[in-house]
Amino acid sequence: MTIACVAFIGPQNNPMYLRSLEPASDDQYMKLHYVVHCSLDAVEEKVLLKRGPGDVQESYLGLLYPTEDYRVYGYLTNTHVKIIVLLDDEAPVKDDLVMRVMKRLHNLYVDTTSNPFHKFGMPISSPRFDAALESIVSVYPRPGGSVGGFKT
Amino acid sequence: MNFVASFYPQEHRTPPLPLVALIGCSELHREISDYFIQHHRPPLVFHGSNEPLEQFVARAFGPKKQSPLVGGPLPGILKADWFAKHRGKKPAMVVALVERRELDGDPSTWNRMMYGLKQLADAAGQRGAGVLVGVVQQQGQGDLPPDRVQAVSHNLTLDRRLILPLALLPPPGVAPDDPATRHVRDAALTRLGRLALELAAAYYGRLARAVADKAAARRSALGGPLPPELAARTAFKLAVYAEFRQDWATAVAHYREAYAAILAVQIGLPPRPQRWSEVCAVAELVHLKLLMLAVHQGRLEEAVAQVRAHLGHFARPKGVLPASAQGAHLGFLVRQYQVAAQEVGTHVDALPAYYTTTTTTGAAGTAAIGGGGTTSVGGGPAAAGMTGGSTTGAAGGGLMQQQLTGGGATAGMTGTGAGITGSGATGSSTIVSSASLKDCSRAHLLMAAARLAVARRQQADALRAARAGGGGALGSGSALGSGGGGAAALDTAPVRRGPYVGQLVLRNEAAQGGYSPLSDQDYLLFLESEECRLVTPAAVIDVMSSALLLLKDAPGADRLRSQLGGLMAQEHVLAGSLSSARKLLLQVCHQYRREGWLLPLLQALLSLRDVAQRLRLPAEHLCYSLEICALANQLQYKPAVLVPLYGSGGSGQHPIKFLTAGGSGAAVGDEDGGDAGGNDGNGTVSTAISEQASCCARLVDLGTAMAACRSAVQTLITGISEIKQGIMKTAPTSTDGTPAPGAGAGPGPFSPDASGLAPAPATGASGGLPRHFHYTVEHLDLREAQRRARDAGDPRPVAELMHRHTQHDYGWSRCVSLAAGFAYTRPDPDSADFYLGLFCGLPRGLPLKAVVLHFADDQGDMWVQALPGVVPPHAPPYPLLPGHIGSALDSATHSFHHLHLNTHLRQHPPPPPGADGAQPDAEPEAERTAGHAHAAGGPASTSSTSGGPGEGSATLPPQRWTHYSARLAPRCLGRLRAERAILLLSDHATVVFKLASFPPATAASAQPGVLTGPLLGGGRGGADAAAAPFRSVRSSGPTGGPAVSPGQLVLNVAHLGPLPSLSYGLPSGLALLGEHAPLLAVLEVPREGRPLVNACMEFVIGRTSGGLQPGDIVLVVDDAAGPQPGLMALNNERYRIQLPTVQPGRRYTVRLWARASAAGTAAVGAMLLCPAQVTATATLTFEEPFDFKCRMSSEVGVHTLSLPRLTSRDLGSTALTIGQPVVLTAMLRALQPAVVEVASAQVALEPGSAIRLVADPNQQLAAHGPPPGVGPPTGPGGPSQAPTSLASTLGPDPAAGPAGAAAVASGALVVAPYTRLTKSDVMTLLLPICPTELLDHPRSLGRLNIRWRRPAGHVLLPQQPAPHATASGSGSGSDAAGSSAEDGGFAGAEAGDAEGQREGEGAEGAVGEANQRGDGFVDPLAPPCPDPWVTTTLELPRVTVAESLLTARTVGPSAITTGIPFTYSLQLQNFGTTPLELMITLQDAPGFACANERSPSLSVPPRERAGVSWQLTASQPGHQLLPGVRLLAPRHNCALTTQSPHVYVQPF
Repeated sequence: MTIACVAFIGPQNNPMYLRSLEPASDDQYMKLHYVVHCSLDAVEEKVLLKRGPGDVQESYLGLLYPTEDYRVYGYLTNTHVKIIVLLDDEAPVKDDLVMRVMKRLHNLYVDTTSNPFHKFGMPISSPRFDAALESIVSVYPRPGGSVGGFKT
Repeated sequence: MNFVASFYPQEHRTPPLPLVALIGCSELHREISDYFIQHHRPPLVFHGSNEPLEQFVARAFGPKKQSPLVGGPLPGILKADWFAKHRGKKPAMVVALVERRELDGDPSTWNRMMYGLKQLADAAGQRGAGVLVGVVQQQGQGDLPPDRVQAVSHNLTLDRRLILPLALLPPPGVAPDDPATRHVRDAALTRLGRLALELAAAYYGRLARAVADKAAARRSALGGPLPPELAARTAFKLAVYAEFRQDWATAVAHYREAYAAILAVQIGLPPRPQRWSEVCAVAELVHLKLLMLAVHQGRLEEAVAQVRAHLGHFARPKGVLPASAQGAHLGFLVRQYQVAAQEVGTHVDALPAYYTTTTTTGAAGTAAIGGGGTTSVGGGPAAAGMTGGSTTGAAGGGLMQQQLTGGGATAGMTGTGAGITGSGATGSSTIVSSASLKDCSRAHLLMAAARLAVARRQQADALRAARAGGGGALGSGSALGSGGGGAAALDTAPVRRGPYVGQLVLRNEAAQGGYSPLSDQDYLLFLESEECRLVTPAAVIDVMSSALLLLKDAPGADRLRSQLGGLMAQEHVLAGSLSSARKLLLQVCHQYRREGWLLPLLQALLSLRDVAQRLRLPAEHLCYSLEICALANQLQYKPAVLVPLYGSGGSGQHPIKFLTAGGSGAAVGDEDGGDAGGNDGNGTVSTAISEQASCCARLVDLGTAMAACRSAVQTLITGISEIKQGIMKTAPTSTDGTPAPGAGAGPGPFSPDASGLAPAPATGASGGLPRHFHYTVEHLDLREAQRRARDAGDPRPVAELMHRHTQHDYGWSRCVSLAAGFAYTRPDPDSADFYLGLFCGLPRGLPLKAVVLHFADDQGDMWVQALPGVVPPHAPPYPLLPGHIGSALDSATHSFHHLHLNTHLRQHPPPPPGADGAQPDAEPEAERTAGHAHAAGGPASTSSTSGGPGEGSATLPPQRWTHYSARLAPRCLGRLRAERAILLLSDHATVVFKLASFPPATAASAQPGVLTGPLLGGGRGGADAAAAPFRSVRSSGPTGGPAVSPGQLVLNVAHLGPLPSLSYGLPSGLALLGEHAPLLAVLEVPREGRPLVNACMEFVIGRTSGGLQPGDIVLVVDDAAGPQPGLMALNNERYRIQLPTVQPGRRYTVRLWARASAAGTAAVGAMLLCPAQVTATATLTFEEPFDFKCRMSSEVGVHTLSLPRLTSRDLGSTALTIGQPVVLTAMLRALQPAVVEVASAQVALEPGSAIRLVADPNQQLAAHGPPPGVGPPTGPGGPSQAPTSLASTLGPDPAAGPAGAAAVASGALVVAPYTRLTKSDVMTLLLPICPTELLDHPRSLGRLNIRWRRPAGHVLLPQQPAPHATASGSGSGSDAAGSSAEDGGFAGAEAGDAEGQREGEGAEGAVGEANQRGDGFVDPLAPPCPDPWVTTTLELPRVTVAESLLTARTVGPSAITTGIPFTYSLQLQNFGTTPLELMITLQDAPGFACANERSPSLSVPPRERAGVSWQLTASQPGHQLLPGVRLLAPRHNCALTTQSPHVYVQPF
């Protein structure tokens, strides 16, 4: 599982954090913006479909949609913050694995917003957040990286 | 738009149908062919031919071309006309129509017919086609002659069943469209169709076998697998033949083989363009077939997999194609995406969120081509047959699904051996999320097509540019590049499609056949010519328009549409349709602005500004320039210490260098608060922020943005006519519509040249050009506006709506954000403070001449100039601007207003001396003039001075909140609305924020009260701007809390001046149940207040306790000033009375009476609405006035013999006997220490209780109690209302209700004289009654209505509350006053005595005061008042009435003398209807001796009387008890023992 991009989207669909985990050119970075932005359509569609009485919206939204380059996964917190993760695997990925990443990212976000100086809904610009996110993502190998001395 | 129909011929996009040739009877051809196309299932193509027989035979069944088994390289993969030939030229069979008369005819006719048939059968037989002879005859002509049929069959070697009669002609005299005729005709044609289908299937099966045999022969000749081209061709033919047979499963399997073989075709590395194109074209054809078959069979997943595989294989060719071929290939890809969107995407979009898919396992579903024993014809890598023959799909397969099953049967018959039935496969259903297929949704596929179209256009632009520039570096593989620049374009006219699919040929007269193949170079030249000719922005726009059209109503694609709109706008710009580009970009910007996606917004704004420049829209250009500057500034990371560097023209290090170099030691204000200190001052910044800033820096250079910003600000000062001239000079391309150089390469770097924002000289107005810049920030709920437009039948596009609401989407708000709100508390009752916070998001200061606020109330509009800083605590309200000046401010054509306004704008006044005592740090005049700004990201300080170096006092400092405030005096009560905030930037620039158009601030928004909502989010600037805008404005009170309520744009002016007070006057004594306890609600207007006009007061019963329910209380209000003055009774409801005008220093009293029907405590609430709410509450306790007891006694000596009761006796009820008179004794005791005068007691017997009064109560009854009063009361109001005579009480008492009225009608009326009761006094009432009917169940006797009142001199009086020394400032204060009055009791009344006298002198219009006595009490009986008489209803006891067998009465002498006998008799009366046998026993008595029989038996006849007498003699003097008598009625099992009376026995 290779994570290409992680984004935190605010409750009003405003981007709070968007980071490419691989070196990206401007075009690629803009493309990530557009992919994440368009994924909000899929998030809304999934949320709307759960509007039956008594339906409980699950946080993990699963695969939102695949694109040519990425597979877009979503997660919705109780405060309507969306966590969008872009994987650039073509092979199917186990949902459990993605869900675990999402939960860790969610915990990280909760820790960050617990900071009394953080303003809810505002962009996240904390290096500590970056570092923690890096540690979460680094568990999952990237192409060309090595784990335990073996090339992946 | 139907992509498939526009891209492919019909034979490719529709399933092939068997072709049947019709010969003979040409007048019937059309009818027959129509029937088989329209009505027959499956349809068949009957093609009638009018050719001569020989010509037809030669065309349809001519000799077949012979091709060698193994030859050289194949010229192509698939012949272009092969498909069309089999669908339209080569019939599978022929139907020869002969007339019946020919069959029955003479030998010459017969011979001629047979000659033709023989010729036809021979030719068809040579090609394996079937022949069928149809004998056309009239209906009803009967069967064919068997001998003739036998002869034809024999001569043609034809099965007899293939010679069939066709009764197509109607019988003579019958219309052809007669239903009976048509029915017979249809039956004949159906038989024909069945046979034709059978023969056609056999024909195509034979063809398939022949192809398979031929392939096997070639394979054996080659000694290995077939070449991929041949394998693909063979599999394709087999698939088409299977389609002809409607054996869909076999067709899919063969198409897959063909596709796999195509993938294995060698193309070369780098790919040869012609070969690559041919392979792509053949693959496209096979792919289309596979898609359509999969979709029509409901196997959507297979279709999606096919799309993915196809796009995966052909998206990127192996190796580099030349540029022209690359462009053509992009066109191919665009087509693939569009077709997939139509064929597959539509179905994917229709999927539910989760759907069930069936996967089959097992070998039974594996296709096997059984013909000839060969199972595979291809040697490709993926030549496996169809796996997973899942013939059941979740979605309906429809017609094709049914045909699939039928096709399988047909295939079996024809022997092709397609064993694809899937019936033996075991399927398992799984639920799958449809999200995994979303990449094949229409939106994504069309979006991808649009991107590829853009890429193709860019490629074509590059080709054009290279051609224009004499060659260019188009890549190493470019034929143009290698061939030298400026190569002449190929004349594309002689180029034609080649004989094989995907091939092109050049017309060449010298070549054999007139055509010669194209060389590679010519081919590339052709492609280049075509690309340069056809691929233009308009073509790309067509692609995108069709996508937008399809996605117009697609749900869940809003953002994708925005993205597509952005792309399309770029193409419109290139195509010169700037207005369309502007409309699209406005929508795109709106979407990104609304959701705060700043980088995409920045990209779109750059385009939009370019469009505005070319459209010569200087105002828009200016706005977008400023917004881009603000946005770029916001997106850049800038440490706080760098802000001055920006202001000094970018002399500092560029922020991007800080990012990349890790900073220069600037302490970064991390949002973690103190976390920044732990980063060793390395300028550590979030990676995400640096990524964004880096990308932004490449889009827009900050230094250039600063220069543009400076220029724009200068333009605002001097007037926009300057910039307009600049635009006209720098937009040379806008007239001819050709794109600007470099414009097609996407948003380029921001440069003054491109922007047209070179600093303009600050000159005066140019002649004829508008100078003024007017911008209105208005909230537009786009969805609501769209809905309204739809409802009104105005389906305008979004852009039109947005255009009508200019500048609606906060573009300017990024430059200047605004927060506004009234102060939490009003400084005094006659003024209100309004605060405005302005945040300048630009990288430099913005001039601000003045701020004018527009308010509206019920009296109209008013305009006030807001001054910088905080309003001094004791400053007077600001003067209003003249109305005509104000009304001109918010109009776009206010060319004169500034001149007039300058004379009215205030110079900032100094604060009054000593007025800042409540605020020690109140700024001096200089600071107030300079603006009250604070750095939002820093500490909450109000001591900042000017905005920046070199900026005058009228400048909004950048990146800070600046406060403006105004104090105004509300003119009237009601809503005071802040309508607009008008920023006068200069004499030529005005920005109006329509405050009233914004929705109310909500706590959920990131910044309540900040009109831009979430749009400020993003980057460090966003975090700064997100700081609370008014946190430095603190309340001047001791608490020092926040002073401003951001977002509160409406102030409800409830009152002007000090609030009046409201208090209660409570009754001076205990309130009794049922009486009207008087209350006073006293309103007092302070002397320093304003007259109370149009106020009203509301009354309501509040909480209750002690068993009292709100519904038990009736409140009577003396509505003296209402439209209908009088009393108004309220029962548990809110009631409002209108108050008259009360002048300052006066009081107004409202009289109330509360009456309760149950004991307990209740709170009466009064609320003064002026329209401020002043409340007061009074607590009243109601007590029971009387204690009531009843006793019943019957006549002495009378006994009743009753039948034993079957039911148990009810407790609490008294058992009576029919006919036995009873005396009811009712005792009434006064409970409370109050004097009560009882006027009457009225008995209202229950109408159905079967109780009658024995006699006239006026004669029989008497009341016994304390001495009656002196007579009818003579107190105030008493004599006229109290009953003065008996007759006056005879009327029905309304309080008794209908039951009482009924009782009165029966004469049950009891009257007692006037009686005064004080505490513990008892009044007794006697009531003889007689039960007359049976009453099994306990029932009340009725009610006793006591009519009473308080006598004169003892009337319950309300207290006058003490006047308030000072007016209370708020409603809560009045509450306290009310409660104090409530608790004050009598003491308060005494204290208010003298005051009441004084108030009474000047009271005018105060009703209560006119009725006020000098002792502080208000007479509650002054008219109008409720009836002082109270009727207390008491419940009489419950009784049962039993039947009486007989009545026994013992009668003895009243005086007895010892020794003298006397008669003691028993009188009996039988009330029953049967004789009664009694055993009577005189019991023993000690003092008496009986002379006769003591126990006689007696029979009493019905309704008769009887008696028994005994002679007794007393033996002892003194009080003796006479002997009792026991009666026993054995039959009724009841007995009675009389009670013996005492008698006095005199001594002898």
